[in-house]
Amino acid sequence: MGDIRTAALFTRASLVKSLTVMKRYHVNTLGRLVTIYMFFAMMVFGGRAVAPNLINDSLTGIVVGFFIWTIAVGSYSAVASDLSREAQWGTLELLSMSPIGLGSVVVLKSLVNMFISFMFGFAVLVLMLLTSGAQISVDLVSVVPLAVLSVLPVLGIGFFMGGLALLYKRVSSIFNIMQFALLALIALSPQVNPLVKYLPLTLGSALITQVMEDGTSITALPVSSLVTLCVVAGAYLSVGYLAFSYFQRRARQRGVLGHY
Amino acid sequence: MVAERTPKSRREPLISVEGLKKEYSSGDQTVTAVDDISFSIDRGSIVGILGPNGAGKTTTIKSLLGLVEPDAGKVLIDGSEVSEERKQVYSRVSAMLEGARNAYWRLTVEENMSFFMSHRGINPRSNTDRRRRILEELGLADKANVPVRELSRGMKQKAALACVLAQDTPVLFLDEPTLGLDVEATRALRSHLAALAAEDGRTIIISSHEMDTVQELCDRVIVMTNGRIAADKETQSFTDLFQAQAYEIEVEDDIEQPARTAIERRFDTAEFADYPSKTELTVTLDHKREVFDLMDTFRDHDVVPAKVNHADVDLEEAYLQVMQNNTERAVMEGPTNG
Repeated sequence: MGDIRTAALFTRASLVKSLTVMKRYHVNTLGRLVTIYMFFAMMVFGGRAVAPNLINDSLTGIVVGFFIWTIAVGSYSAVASDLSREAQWGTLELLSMSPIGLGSVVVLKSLVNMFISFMFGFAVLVLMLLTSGAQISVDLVSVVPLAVLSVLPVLGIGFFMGGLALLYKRVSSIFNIMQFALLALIALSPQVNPLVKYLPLTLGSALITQVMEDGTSITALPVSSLVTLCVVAGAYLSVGYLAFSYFQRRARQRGVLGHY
Repeated sequence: MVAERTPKSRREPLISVEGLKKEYSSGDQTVTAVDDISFSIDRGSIVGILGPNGAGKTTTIKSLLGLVEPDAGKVLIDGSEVSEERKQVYSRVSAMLEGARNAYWRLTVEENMSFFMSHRGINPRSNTDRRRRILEELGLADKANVPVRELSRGMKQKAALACVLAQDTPVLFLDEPTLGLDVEATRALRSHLAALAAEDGRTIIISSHEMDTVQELCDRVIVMTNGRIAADKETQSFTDLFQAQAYEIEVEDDIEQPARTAIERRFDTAEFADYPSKTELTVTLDHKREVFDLMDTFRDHDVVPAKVNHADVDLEEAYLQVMQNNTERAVMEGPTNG
């Protein structure tokens, strides 16, 4: 009971902290939003100048893919980079002294960061829809659960990378490569190769595209696909968390938990 | 059952360390950071851990906090083994490990306090009075709504300390708590910490290079060097021990060079101070009985002491004496690290 209360208080405090920082440094927050949108704008409007038909035919796919990528990158970076930053700030060791344990602290912080990444993702989506002329269905009841299940395996990878950062510290180059790897995972099609549906983001991205392009409801999607999506989410998340726990233990053994 | 256990557990040491050992390996090299140390700390006491850089203080403190996993040994805090029952331990312990870095610089002082209270399971909304009181006591009341990054070095240190105090745990670990603080703030902090131990029965472990703070605050000092405990005594008896062995000897007129050389060769702590009509010799002896050797050296060189007094020894001098003795012993014994 005490743990649940502490977890609830910590989650609220983490959310308040993130929102406070976003509000206090609003220029930075806006800059982040603009940078993400500019990346999309260069791709779409630049692409239209070179190959207008190609871009217009695949516009909804680009918008949906970019929306998923924004959420996935935000959630992934929030776990992996956050741990490095906390170590750098000298606050990681304090967080690891929480009565709910460092594992729970990292999971709760990740959920908060995922929520904020979703807010960013939807803000970027609105901008994309307003400026590109794309027509898609945004059925939140279908899109949000699918997006959450799609991003959970990415959180698992974030736990793995974050754990690695506890031990080896400067692994930012791998963090950056992962951002492009996520783009490739979104682009893969399970219809072309069914085996890729077991990779993070791939099946989820295909299902979200179907929901947003065709207006299909989540309840109309094949049950087997939803079960696979849940299993893939659970598997990557569990393996990532176990790896994080292992790396955390190794960091304590090597005495480098708070080093940077 | 509980009523029987409480008084018994109150008599037991709050922190108990047995055979703690930690080695760090890098390539072919292994360095022993902490080498089989044991000690215990009573409830309500303030203990200072002293030692030069690399003595093993930080590894010891982080092992006590479960942030470093020792290779051997056992650490118990209030009956819970740190490596196995972290959650129980962390519900009783808070720490300031890296001073000013132990706060989020983009948040204000009060926001930081609220965050760290929440992480400990304390609702900050129902504890505004406590926050205000701590801010008042540390002289931070007018900085409560200032982001930490905009504060001076000393103020940042106070902000980090305020976060620790807001967590209201019975055990506090403070690494260099007065580093960067001005005289007034240092004095206020000392009295605040002393009151926490005396009135609230909190146990405080301080690691510091500031001898004045340790001497004034700590009931007991543990001196570490080369990963071992070189001295573990109550602060008063620690300084008394060296007080009894430190002498100030006044000689009318000058002490000739052959006599000085003989004294310096025999007592390497000897220091001479020359004045127009007298010479003062200050010397700390390894053992009280060496005073006879000193007098023999005086007699051999026809030096007549006019006055012999015990010198005042503060913690810093006692600490330096322990370090010196330990270095000499280490040279005699040879290297200990692999």
